[in-house]
Amino acid sequence: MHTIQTEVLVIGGGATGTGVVADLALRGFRCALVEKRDLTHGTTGRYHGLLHSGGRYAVKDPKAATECIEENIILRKMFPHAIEDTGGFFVVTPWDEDGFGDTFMAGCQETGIPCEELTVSQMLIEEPHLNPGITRCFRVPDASADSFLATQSVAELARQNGAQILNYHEVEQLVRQDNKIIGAICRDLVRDEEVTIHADMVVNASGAWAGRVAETAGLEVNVQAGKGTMLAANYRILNTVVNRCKMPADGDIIVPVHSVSIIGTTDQAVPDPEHFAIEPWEIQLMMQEAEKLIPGWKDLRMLRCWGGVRPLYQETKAADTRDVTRAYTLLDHETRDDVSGFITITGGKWTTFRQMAEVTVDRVCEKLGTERPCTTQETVTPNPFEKGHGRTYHTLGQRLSDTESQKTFGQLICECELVTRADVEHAIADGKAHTIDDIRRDVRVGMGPCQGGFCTLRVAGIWHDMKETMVEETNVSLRDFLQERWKGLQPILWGPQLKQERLDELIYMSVLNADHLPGEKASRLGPAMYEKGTILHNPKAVT
Amino acid sequence: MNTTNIWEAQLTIEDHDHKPVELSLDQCIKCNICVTACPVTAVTDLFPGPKYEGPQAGRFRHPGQRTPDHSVDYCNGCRVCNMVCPTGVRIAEINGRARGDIVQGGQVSRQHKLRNNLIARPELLGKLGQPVAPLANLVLHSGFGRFFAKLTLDIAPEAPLPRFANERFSSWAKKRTEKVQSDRKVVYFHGCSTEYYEARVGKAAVQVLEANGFEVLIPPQNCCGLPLLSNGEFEAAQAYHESNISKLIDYVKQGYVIVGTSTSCTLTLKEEAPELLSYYTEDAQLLAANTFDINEFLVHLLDDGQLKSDDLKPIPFTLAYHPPCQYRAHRIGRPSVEIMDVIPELTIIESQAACCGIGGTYGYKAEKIGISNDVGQPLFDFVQEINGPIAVCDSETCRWNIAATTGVPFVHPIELLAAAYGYDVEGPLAEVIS
Amino acid sequence: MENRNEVLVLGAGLAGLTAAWQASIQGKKVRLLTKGWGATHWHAGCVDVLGYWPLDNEEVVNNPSSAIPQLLETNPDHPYARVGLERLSDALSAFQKLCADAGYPMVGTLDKNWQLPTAVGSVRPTCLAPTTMTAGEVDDKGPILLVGFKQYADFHPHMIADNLKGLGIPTQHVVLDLPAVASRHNTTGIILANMMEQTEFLGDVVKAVRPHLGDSQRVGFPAVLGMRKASAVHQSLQNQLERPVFEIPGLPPSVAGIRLHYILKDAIEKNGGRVFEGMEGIGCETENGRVTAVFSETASRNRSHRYQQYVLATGGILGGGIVTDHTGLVREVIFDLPLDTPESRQEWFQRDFLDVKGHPIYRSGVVVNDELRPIGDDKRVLYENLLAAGTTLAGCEVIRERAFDGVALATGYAAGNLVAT
Repeated sequence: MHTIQTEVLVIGGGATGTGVVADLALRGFRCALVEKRDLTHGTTGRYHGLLHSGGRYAVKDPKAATECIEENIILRKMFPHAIEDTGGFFVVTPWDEDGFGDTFMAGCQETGIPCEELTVSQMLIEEPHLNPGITRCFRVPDASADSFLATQSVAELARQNGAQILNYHEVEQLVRQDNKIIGAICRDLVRDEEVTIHADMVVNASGAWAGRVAETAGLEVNVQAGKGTMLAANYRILNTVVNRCKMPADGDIIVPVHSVSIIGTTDQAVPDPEHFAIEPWEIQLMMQEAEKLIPGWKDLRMLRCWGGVRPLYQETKAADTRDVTRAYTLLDHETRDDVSGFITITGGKWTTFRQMAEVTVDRVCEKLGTERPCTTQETVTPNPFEKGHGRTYHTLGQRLSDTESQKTFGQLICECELVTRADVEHAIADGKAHTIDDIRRDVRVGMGPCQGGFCTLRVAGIWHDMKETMVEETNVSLRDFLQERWKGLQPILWGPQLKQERLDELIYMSVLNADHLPGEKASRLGPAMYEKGTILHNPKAVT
Repeated sequence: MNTTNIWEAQLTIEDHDHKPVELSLDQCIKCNICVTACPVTAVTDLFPGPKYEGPQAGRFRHPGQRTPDHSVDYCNGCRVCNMVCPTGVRIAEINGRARGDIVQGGQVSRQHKLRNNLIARPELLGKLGQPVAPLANLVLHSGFGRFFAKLTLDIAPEAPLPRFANERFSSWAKKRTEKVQSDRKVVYFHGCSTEYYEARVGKAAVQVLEANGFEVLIPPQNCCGLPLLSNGEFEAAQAYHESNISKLIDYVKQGYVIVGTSTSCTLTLKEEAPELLSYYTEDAQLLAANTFDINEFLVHLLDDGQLKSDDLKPIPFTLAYHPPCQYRAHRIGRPSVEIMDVIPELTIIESQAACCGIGGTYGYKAEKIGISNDVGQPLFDFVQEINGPIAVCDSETCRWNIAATTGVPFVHPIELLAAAYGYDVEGPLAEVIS
Repeated sequence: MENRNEVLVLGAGLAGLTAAWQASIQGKKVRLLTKGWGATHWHAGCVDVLGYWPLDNEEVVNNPSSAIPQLLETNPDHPYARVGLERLSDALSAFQKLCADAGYPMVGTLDKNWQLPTAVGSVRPTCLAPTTMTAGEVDDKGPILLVGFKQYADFHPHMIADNLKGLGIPTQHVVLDLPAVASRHNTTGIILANMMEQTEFLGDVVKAVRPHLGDSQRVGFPAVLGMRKASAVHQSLQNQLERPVFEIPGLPPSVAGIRLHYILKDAIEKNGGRVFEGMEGIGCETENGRVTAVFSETASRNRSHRYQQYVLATGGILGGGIVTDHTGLVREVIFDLPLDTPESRQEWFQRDFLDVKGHPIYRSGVVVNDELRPIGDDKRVLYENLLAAGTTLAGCEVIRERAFDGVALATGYAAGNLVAT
C-alpha cells in the first residue's frame, strides 16, 4: 500500500474526467486521475463516435444544440487527428414526416448550425448506397470522431502539464473526514494493492458510475444508466454521418468511423451500469432501421455490437443544485449535502466534454479560492502515437497510404486494421498497456473483421518478448483478449462473421490448443461479459 | 437454367445480384488461402498479395478520397485468388475497380497513360497495322522499333508482339461460298486477335460449329474493350461495350447465342464489362446471359450427347496445355480439357502453373515485364519439359507470350478439334500434322 | 442416354478430396467442383482423430481406438458411428499409403496419439503427423532449440520455449535475422517455404542456427520447411544440423496442410478425375427421390451438372456448406437438406469463447444413415443418389473433440467407396 498527495483528484477516465484533469493541469493545479480500467473503458469507448453538429438537438433542445455547434468548432482544432471531417446528412425517409425538414432547417438557423439542403440526386452521387426513396437531404457539419484517440490525446496533454494518470485504479472508498472529502482509497488492479490518494478537492467524473462513487461517502446521487446499443458493419458503406430527419429515436443514425459503419442506438434504462444485456430485439431493431437508410444493410457483415450507458441524472433534492442544464449536471456537494471538498459532474455528451470540464474546473477554482482562466478552447493536444501535434483531419485512407509509402506490408500484425509491429511495440513499450485490450484501444489491433483471429497470437508473442513476464501471464492475456473480442460478437453472429469465429476457434483450439495453455482461464483484468439477452420483442413497441 | 437446347438464347433474365464487387469483401475470413496461390506476390514484393489488395485495402478506400495505394496496379488480373477463395470474395474485380479509380483520379503519368491507351486498343492497332502487314511486322519486330517504343512509351522491348495476318478473318468469312445453312444458328464473336492476327482460329471455330450442324453468323463487331478495362480506362471501354451490344443484341433477341474463341472477349461480354462498369441495362444482361466460350458451348453439347465425336481422326501427340486465367473468371471449370479428351490418341498434360504472367497488356509494360517473366517461369519450364511439337492454350496473349519465350508454337484447342474433324489446318498445327 | 458423368463431388476439403480420390481409384469418372480451397489450408496438416474426450473433463485422449467406443456410447449419432472404427482404420491406412507413396509419410497409429507442440507452446494430441513434425513429441524430454525468423510474425519462439520449459523440456530459442528474408517487404509462410527449397538459403539457415545448437538434441522450426519438396528439405536440415528437426504448425495458411491438398489432388487427377475450382454449387434439381442436377454459379448464368451420384462435402458453417443469417435461419446451401441444429438463435452460443463443450450452433449438420445418405425426420433416405461427408455432418463438435481431420477422412473415404460400389 502506498499514498499519493495531490491538490485535485479526478475520478473517472472517460472523456469528461480526462478533460477535467487536463484543464486542471493547464491551470497549474497538481492533479491526478484514477480510472478503474483503461481510459475510455466506460461510456466514452462505447458510443458511436459522432461529433455532433447540434443538428440532432436543433428542434428538441436548442440549448444543447448551441453548445454542440460551439464545441464542434473548438474540438476540430483541439485534436484534428482524432476527427474525420465526414460532414453529416439529415434525411427525410418515406417513414418520416415530410414537413419535419422545414422545422429542422428553421431550428438549425436559430441555433447557428450551418445547414444547406441538397437535391436527392446530389445526395445519391455522394452516397450511392442511401435509400433512393429519401425525399429531402440537409447537410450539417457533423463529423466522426475516434473517442479513444481523442481521450488519449487529452490525457497526454494532461501528462505533459504534470498530471498523473492512473489507470486500473478502482475507487473503493471516498475518504470522508467529518463533512469533508479528503481523498479516496483505491485498488491498483494490476499490482493488486491498495493506494490512498489525499487531495484538497475530489471531482467525481465517473458518469453513469457517479452514484456508486458518491455512495461510498454516504452521498446520494441518482444517476440512471441509459443503455444504448450499437452495431458496427464491417464496411464503410457510407462516408457521411447520416441521421434521420425526425425527432431523435432508436436506430436513427449511422456514423462512419475508421473502417466501419456504426448504426445506433437504443435507449433503455438499466439498473446497473456494469451488468446488462444486449437484447435480441435491439439488434433486430437496429437492422430494420438501418435498412430504411441503406437498402441491403441486412446483407452486410456485422462486425461487432456493444452497449454503452448514458449517465442520466435525476435530481432527488429540490432546488439545491446550480448549473443544471439538460445537457449536463454539476453538483456542488457543499451546498447540496453540506459535504465539502467534493463535486460531481455527470450527464452530458461526448461533444460537450470540454465545456463540462471547463465549468467543473471553474468551480474547483472557486472552491479553492483561486482565479485561473481556462485555456483548453485554444489548446491543440499532442497525438500520443505520432510525433508532433496533429494539424490535419484523419482520413480513412491514411493507414493504407502510410503502409504503402513505408512498404510495411510484411510487418502488419493486425492485417485488418493495418497495424504494424512498430505500432504494437510502441504501445507496449510506453508501459501504459496492461492488457492486450489496452493495446487495441491505442492502435486498433483486433478491431477488424477477424476480431483478433490472426493478431492475438502475434501480439501475445511480441508482448512476451518485450515484457518478459511469467509465461502463464502471457497465456492468460491471450485468452483474456480472445474472450474480450467474443464479448461483443455473440448478439450479431451470423453469416460471414459466424464463419470467421469458427475459423478463429479452429486456430486457437484445434491448431494452437491455447485453451489448454498453463495459467488461469481468465484474469481479473479480463472483460466483464454482457448478460445473456433474452427479450425478443421491443418492450416499447406498440402492438 | 439449361432446360432447353443450349443454342437457343434465353430471353428471360435470371435474377442475379448486381451488388458492387466491393461489397464481396465482407465475405473475407482473412484465411490467406488467396495469398498461398497468388503467382505475383510469390515473385515480387511490389505486390503484397490479394488479401492485402482486395478485402483489406478495400476497407480503406472510398469514393471521393484519393486512392491511397499504388501497389494494386501490380495485380495482373489472373484471378487465381478468386478461384481458390473459399468464401467468394471478388478480389480481382475489387483490384480492377481500384485501378480504375487511380486512372480516373489522374494518378497515372502521362507517358504511361498514353502507352496504356495504345496497347489496350488492339482494334486500332489492327486497323492501322494489318493493311500494311509486312511493313508493320518488320518495324514492330525490329530492334529499332522496339527501342523506340521503350524510349517513347515505356513499352517493354522484349514483349511478345504478334504478327499481323495477311488477310482479315472477316474478309475470309465474307468470301466463303459453301456455308452451312441451318435453323440452328449461332453468332461467332471472333475478337481482335482472330480478326487481325490469327484468322486460322476463327476458321477452325467456324468449321467445328458447322460440322456440328450449326449455321455460323459473323456480324460486324468490335473490340470487347477488355484491355481498356484492365488498364482502368473505363470510359473508353464502355463505349466499345455499348457498341458491341448494339451490334449483337438483335441476334440474341432472334434467339441466337454468341460463341467466341477468345476466353477474354467472351468473359468481357458476360461479366467483366457489366461488373466493372456497373453497367446493367437489360440488353447488356441479355447479351451476357447468352454469350459462351466455344469449349463451354461444346461441353454442353457433349453432356447432351450431341457433340460430333464419331470417326474422329487421331492426333497421336502428347501436348502441354495451359488453361488460361480467364477460365477461372468464367467459373466453368476447364472445358477445353473435356473437349480434347474426345480426340483419339491425343494426350493432354495440363499445366499446374498459375499464370503465364502476361496478364493481357501487363507484360508489355517495361516496369512489369520482369515480374511477368518471373510469374511465367514455372509454366515455361513445364512447356519445355513436355517438349511437344506444339502446345495448347485458349487465350491469344498467353499463346503469344509462352510461344515467344519457349519457342514452342501454340494453338487454340479448337484447331485440334477441327483437325480431328478432318479439316485442313493452317499454322503450326499444319506443320505437325502433315 | 448414357450419362458419361458418374460421380460429382462437391467440396475440396479433406472429405471431398478423399471421396473423389477413393471413387476415382475404383475407376469411376469423377468430377469435383469446389468454390475454393478449404480445410486443408487452414488446419495443422496432421490427422486429428480424437484428442479430447469426454469434453467436460477436458481429458486428453492418448489412445483413440479405445476412446472412440466410449465416445460412441454416449454419442451414437457421431459420424464415427456411421462409418465404424474399422473403416476409420482403413481410411487412415489408405491415406498413409498414399502419402508414403508420394514421399511424404504420415506416421502414427490409432492406438496412440502424438503429443506435439503448438505455435504458442501448448501441446496438441493428434493421430497421424508427417515425419517432419514427429520429433517434437513432448513425451520425449530431450532439450530443444526453437528457431524463428525475425520478419515472420506468426511464430514467436520465446513464448513457445517458456511454455515447453513448463513441461520439463529444456528449451532454448533463437530468432534469425537473415539478409535474404530481411531484404523482402513481405514474409509469409509460403514465401519462407519456397525459400527453404533453395539449397543456398537452407545453407544460410543452417549456418545461422549452428552456433546456437548447444546441448539441444532436436531443433524446432515453424512449419515452413518446404512445400512439395518438404521431405527433402527436412532430411537435409537433419543431416546438416546432425539431429532431429521438427516443424510446428501455426496460423493459416498451413504449409503442411497444403502438402496434403496437393497429394490428394494429384491422386485424383492421376486416376482420371478432375478438380474444378471456383465453381460454387448453389442449388439442385430433384425428381422422384433422385438428384438429377446440381447447379453452379458461373459468370452471367447458372450451369447444370448432371451426374449419376453426388457427394456433398461442402463443410459446415466454416466450410460454407451451411449458411446462417440475421433472422436465425440455418440452411444447407445446395440441397436444402434438413439440419440438426438448435431450435432458436437464443441457443446458439455459450458464454465463453473457449467453452469446453462448444457452441451448439457449430454442431449444426446433416443427419445421415450408415450409408451416409441424408435422411429426414422419419429416417427415410431423401435422395437415393446423394451422400454426405465431412464436417457437413451432424453429431459432432470436431474442433472441441480435435477430430477435424479424422471425421473428414473417414467419412470421405466411406463415401468414395460407397459411390463406387
